[in-house]
Amino acid sequence: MQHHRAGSSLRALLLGLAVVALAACGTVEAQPVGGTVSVLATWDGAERDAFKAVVAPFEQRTGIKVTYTSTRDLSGVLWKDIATGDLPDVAGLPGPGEMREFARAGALVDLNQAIDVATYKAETAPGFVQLGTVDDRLVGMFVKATVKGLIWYDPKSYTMGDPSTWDELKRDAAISSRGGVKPWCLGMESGEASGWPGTDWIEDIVLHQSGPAVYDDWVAGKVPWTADPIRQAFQTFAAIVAPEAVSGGSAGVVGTSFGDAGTPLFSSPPGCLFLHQGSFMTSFFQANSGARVGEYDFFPFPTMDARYRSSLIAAGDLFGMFHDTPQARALLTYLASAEAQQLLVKGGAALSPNLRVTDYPDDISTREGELLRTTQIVRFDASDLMPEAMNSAFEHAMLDFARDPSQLDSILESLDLVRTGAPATGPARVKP
Amino acid sequence: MTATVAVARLPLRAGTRIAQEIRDLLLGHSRALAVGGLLGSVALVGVALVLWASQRFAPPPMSFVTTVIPVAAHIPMILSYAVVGAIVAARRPRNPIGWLILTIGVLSSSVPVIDFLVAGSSGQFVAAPAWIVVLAWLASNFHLPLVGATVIVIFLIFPDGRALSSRWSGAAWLAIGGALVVGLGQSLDPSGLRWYPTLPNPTAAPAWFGPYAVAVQVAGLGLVMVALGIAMWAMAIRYRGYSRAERHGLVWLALTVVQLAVAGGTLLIVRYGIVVPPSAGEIVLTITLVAATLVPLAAVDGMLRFRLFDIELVLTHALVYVPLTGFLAGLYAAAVALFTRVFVAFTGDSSDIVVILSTLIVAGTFTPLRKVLETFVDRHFKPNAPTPAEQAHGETGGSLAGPWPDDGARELDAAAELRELQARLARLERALAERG
Repeated sequence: MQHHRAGSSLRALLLGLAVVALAACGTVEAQPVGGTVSVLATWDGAERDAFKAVVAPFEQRTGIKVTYTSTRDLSGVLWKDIATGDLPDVAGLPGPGEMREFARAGALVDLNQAIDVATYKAETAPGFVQLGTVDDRLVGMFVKATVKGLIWYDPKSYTMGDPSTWDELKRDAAISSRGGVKPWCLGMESGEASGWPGTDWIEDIVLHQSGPAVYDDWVAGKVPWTADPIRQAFQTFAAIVAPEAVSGGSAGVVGTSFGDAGTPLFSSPPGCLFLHQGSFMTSFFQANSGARVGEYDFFPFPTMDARYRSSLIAAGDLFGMFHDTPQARALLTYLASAEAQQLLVKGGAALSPNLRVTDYPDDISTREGELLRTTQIVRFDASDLMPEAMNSAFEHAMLDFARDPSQLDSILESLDLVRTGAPATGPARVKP
Repeated sequence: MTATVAVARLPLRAGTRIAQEIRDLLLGHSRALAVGGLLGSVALVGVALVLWASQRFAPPPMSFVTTVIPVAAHIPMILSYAVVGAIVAARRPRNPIGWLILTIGVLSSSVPVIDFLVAGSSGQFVAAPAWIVVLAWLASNFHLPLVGATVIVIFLIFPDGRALSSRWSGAAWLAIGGALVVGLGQSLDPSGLRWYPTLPNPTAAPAWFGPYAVAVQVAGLGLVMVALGIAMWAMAIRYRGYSRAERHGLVWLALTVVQLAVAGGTLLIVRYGIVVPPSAGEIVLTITLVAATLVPLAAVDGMLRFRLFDIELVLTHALVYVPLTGFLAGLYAAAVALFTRVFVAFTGDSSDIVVILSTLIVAGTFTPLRKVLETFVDRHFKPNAPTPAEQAHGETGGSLAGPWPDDGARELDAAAELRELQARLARLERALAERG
């Protein structure tokens, strides 16, 4: 009798488990065929072509048409679209900082329920997964990685080898520029986002001069802009944008597109020796400056303080989903896959956040990937992590500073006003 | 048929014999094991604090953790279980309660270390080391369910180490089985590790299995909640069987048990059953950690009142000696530093000899001071000295012999029992007088 009762209990328990399991089950996803998915991102020119080459096999295989739109004012367009409700299915996101604002505004879909997140997490560096996570939800998926702060040069013009310290760089630059060549090229024009190449400079100087702790606190808004480490970074940068140091003077810095900024490196005679820019710059060297592989090279940002010898700033391109459709799910799953990532890096000028992708098409990309893997102190682009209002103010401040470095005090004070108000006010642009 | 049954029972017998031998071996070294468990927990907490300091006390990238509050609340919880568990296990090694409490302390002390190892790897742009992923997998999938099940088992067998009957002990297996089912469901979850969302789940099932994994977790959670209900029922039955004096002494323990059951049950539901905002999850997690910390403290209170487990002297000495030693150590360090500065100020010599001289002088002064304090403590807290309760009860004070849990005899405050008997007698006499 007891056996019978135990058997009944066991059967009831198993039946209960089965009922609960069935009740909790959704439908098993089928591979979508056909339809359209709209994509908005900043990629233009060679980067847009590379993206289209990546999605071509996806379109063929699934019959889904990817309609791509490019804008340099990604932030402004997305906030406007959120306000009107006319959003793309999938979009590149301006950065993790603004992604957080989109997520908390309820605009982004939780990718944990939408894509093959197990594969994404297994194949992606945890740093990128963390940056795409808000309130336990994965809302941003990195499809491209970038190494920032590389110093680009033409091996024909600069032949003194890689300087390991900032002082060595200054010394080598002084020697190499005796013929009247300016040490630096710099272009900060980038439409609505103009100024960001200057923010990259300040970020590198803060990290290499004051270390990761100050950098992290600065990103988190705990360090005032008027504090010594930030002021010192601007003062160091002042020597870069000085008329005698930069090609084209301050007017050239403010008016030159970042994509064209490297062109003087390759002119004859060269207009400058060095360009501080990210790993994606090689596509602009080829498309805008007519340079070919082998005509440009880089060395990492030199050490400013021996304590922070192995430091690097990374960045990346995030995608988020605004409309949860089968086509959008399929596209994001595909973009994160090793197959798509391999195609992306094959086009050059791109690094992959996918850990399985290590086969880069050229020596430069291979060295950039190696740098990302082996550097001890890696921090994400500070301005991309800041709230949109702070990021925007930072970019504008860089333009103001390039025009007139003597206004440093007022520039830093105005940035501090945004810092203290930024968390409460949120984005300065159109809000939903 | 009989031969087949006999053969089938052979491994069972062998297993029972081995288990018995292991048990005897462990009981023979119970004190060392208890102290080892305590020291291990304290060491792991120390490692966690060092790792946390190296991360500038930032909140780790964990689910339900947006501030440092839950992390800070976890440390006292771990230490309370490790200390109380070690004391009870050392004093009453045959009662499993001490070992279970100590196990919670030891298991929980490894979690902050894992939290900060994960935090260290989460900011990196390279793959997390496999051993960290394995530790995170264990902690994320099994720690909370198993700790919850252990607490339920403690509730079931408190205070004598035995369930009310063999039927009631089934709830313990239900709790453990449910916890393992929850862990299994989480192990298969394709969305990653529940507590460490930045890390992959190495045993994740394909994406389509996601809803099934959730269903398994919910089913396991149901079993655990049923076991929790049974355990609370068992406690209520025991509580009702106590005398008024016993109940009065255990009221704080009962309250903390109820609030832990409510908070812990809520945590299990919001963790494995429903989706809540991280801030709400953080509040529930923090409340549960505080509630969990209070249970051993309330148990200590009960022990001191009833001399449960005969440990009040150990605790009294610990409570007196630990702060006293800390105070003396601080005073000693400050005095050495002060003397060194005075020496340097007067002599201008800042060599090591100054430090050595200062230390010698201070040590020479402190040794007599330490002895005076020790004598004072011993005089007031010697085992044969009357306790404050005994002093208050005078000649009627004293306690019944024999420890409570091991042989079933409860060591009670005889004075309280006597007072209750006297009150009953008085009521009886009044009733008789009224009748006639």
